[in-house]
Amino acid sequence: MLPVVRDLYVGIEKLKPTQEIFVEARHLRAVGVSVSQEKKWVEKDPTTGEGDFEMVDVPDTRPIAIEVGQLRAALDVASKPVEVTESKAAAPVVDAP
Amino acid sequence: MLGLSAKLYRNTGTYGTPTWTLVNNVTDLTGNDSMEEADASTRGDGGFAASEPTLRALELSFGMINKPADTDVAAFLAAYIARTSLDIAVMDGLMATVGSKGVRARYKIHQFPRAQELRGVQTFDVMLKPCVDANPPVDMTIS
Repeated sequence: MLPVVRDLYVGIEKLKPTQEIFVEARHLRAVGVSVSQEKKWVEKDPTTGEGDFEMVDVPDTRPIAIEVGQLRAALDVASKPVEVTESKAAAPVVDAP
Repeated sequence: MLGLSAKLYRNTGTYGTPTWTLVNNVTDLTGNDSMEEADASTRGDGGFAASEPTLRALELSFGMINKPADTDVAAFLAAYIARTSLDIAVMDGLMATVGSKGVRARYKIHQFPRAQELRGVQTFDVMLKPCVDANPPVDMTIS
């Protein structure tokens, strides 16, 4: 289990499914919750003051509101073990005794 | 900004992966934030006392109404009795709103007196101070 999944499980352990919580966007993305990447205008060089702006990504540490039930469902999916199907071609070659 | 727009959050998760819950059961809140001072007066100050700020001291006081089913009251009371820390963020607005500012720190509760006035509701006056922790207090700005 990923550390972020484990930590989020700990965080919502004693909370009601309908309760709203705030989780950083980067952590929600890490567990598969779709979060839009917002952008904002900033001054390129604040010292010049000439109004030269550029668009940058909003930091991923911005908390996003989500219900505990929604997050728990995402965590259940993210924590499922991945099934690996072995093909015959990929099987290890064992020398005959 | 109105006082009722301010928000108090409690982290129910780990420090690195916080899950913030809004604590709504809060009446008036005072977040003291002050610098201790060192006397730095010299002969060159023209006969005036001069000082420099040293340690920054935080202290948080607020009231809570005694509601038996309130998970926040239970969490604060449990932290008080067990002398354990709480990760708290005091913000001037919603945490999800860009531009909101506040202070995040791990606090321990030093006072939890009960008020049971005859003509009032039962309340707790909670007083917290930052405690020894690997993560010292930080100023927060939602950007």
